[in-house]
Amino acid sequence: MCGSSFSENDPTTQAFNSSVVFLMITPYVIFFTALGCVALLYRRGLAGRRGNIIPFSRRRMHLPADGPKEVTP
Amino acid sequence: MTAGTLVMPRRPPLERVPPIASTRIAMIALVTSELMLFAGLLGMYIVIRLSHPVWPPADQPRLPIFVTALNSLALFASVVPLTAALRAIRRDARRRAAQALAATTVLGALFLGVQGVEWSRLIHHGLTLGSSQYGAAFYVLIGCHAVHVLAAVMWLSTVTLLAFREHYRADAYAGLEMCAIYWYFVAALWGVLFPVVYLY
Repeated sequence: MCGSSFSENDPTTQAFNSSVVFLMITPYVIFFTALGCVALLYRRGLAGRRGNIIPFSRRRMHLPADGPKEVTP
Repeated sequence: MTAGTLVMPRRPPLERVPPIASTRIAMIALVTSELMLFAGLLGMYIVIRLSHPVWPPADQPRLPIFVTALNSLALFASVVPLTAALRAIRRDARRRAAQALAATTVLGALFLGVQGVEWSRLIHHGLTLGSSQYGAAFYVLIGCHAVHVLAAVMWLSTVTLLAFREHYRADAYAGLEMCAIYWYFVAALWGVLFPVVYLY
């Protein structure tokens, strides 16, 4: 449409074409960036709710093999 | 109450904390709508800029690139004390946060002041809103950003005042965080506008 409104080699035609492409792409970029931010914050929010997970094998490594020793003063 | 009635203490209701704070969602929505506004203005600027083979037009004054570049550094530098303020308030260092916010406000006001001086010089040299498409595109796009910076500086001033009164704590600083998000947006937007308008 812009090409038919102006002459073919008019710089205004190229300017309108570039602007139309920019304005077609930008809303999607902004929308998906905002969606990504919300998703990231949601995942962080869920991760903050969980307790710390301590691997069972590591906990056992700190325990003596023959069980707790009795200490007498 | 009759004899034999057992009165149980009222259990406090479980607090349901949402995964994302409502204030953050509100700020994301606000920033998204503002980005759409500036995308439209940039579309307008692209049409005007690309339809002129010679830019800026021969009879129009040139934009002050060096001073504006230094001014941009002041705006980008203001992000550093703002980040420090957020970290300080998370540690409950309220005085430190207030001082960092004051530094951010001063840098933002400096940016606005230098922009105002440069604009008055441009108007004095004949670049006005009605002088040409060049002037109209420049003042509408950069002026819209300046209005946003002005609003952000006013917001920052209020937040700084509240921070000096120890209004924010480590467990309640949503107002400060919202203002910080808005300031980050304003500074990041200038990172796009400055190269497009002044350098391209």
